[in-house]
Amino acid sequence: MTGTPTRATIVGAGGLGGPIAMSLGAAGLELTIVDHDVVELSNLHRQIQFTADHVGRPKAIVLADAVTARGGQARGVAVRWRPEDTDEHTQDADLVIDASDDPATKFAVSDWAVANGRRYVIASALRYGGNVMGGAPGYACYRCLFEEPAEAPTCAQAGVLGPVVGAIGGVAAAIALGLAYDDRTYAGALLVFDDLRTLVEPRIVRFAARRGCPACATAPISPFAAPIRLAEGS
Amino acid sequence: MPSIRVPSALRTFTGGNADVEVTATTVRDAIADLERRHPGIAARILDGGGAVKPFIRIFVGADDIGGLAGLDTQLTERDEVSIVPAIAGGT
Repeated sequence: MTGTPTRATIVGAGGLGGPIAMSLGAAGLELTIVDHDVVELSNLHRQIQFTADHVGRPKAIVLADAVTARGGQARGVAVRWRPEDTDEHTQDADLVIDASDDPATKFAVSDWAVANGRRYVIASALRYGGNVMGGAPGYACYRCLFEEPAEAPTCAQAGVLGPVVGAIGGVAAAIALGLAYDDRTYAGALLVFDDLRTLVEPRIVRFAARRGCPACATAPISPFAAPIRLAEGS
Repeated sequence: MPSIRVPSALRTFTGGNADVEVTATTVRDAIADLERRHPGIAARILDGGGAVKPFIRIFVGADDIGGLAGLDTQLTERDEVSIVPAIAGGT
């Protein structure tokens, strides 16, 4: 890799954010990791970047230190990610990855990335499965896919198997790395991990932009965007 | 027969089964037959007006029904209908 490193902001330093940050930091991306939470003992079975010595410390700071200790470049910002604060942690990012545990944050990250013409990845995991979506200017967005946040349980409420976040986080990192180097194979695609059977072979589905999507309506036009296919009545 | 891939969050309705075969020629019929076999599940997929809930997306094979004919999308014997909900978790 040559030239200026790609800058990426990772929202969430937990089960998904850990493997994503480790992978992207080791690949040479310059990371900002944003998470308001602190390490708890109950996190350790799935957030294997932390140890019992880290309990009570800010996850973003500890994870950034772990990336740096492996030769990467990372800074931790121990705040909740909010679009009104992006000057502090996201404005200069080429790529944004959501690894949070909060449905509203996933939509906010996607909306911000679309409005600002950034590439992005939205990753989710719960119990034995999850989803990963790649996004880039000109492609159908996360709000095209799921119109609004669902009242769905989080990992903290419903649990997640430790290896599941490792597997899905690894896939999210690979898609993010591809997007960082303008490989748009998975832009506008959703990888669906239904359960343990599909962890090694997720279903890959593509979806159309939704007519009237409020996020896409204000999106800048990318010079290398694929045409958005609008679905009638969707 | 076409089949429906049930997301893990809704498998409490299907006794844990991930795949349910249905007798149907459209996606709408498939969900109706799924409801007959597993009462209560359709209300988790469709709203009171019979439209797909906003945080759920339905695919036939790899194709989004939003780009086809929506709930009226025709099914063949070998089609697999996937119900994909938004997932919140990550940490």
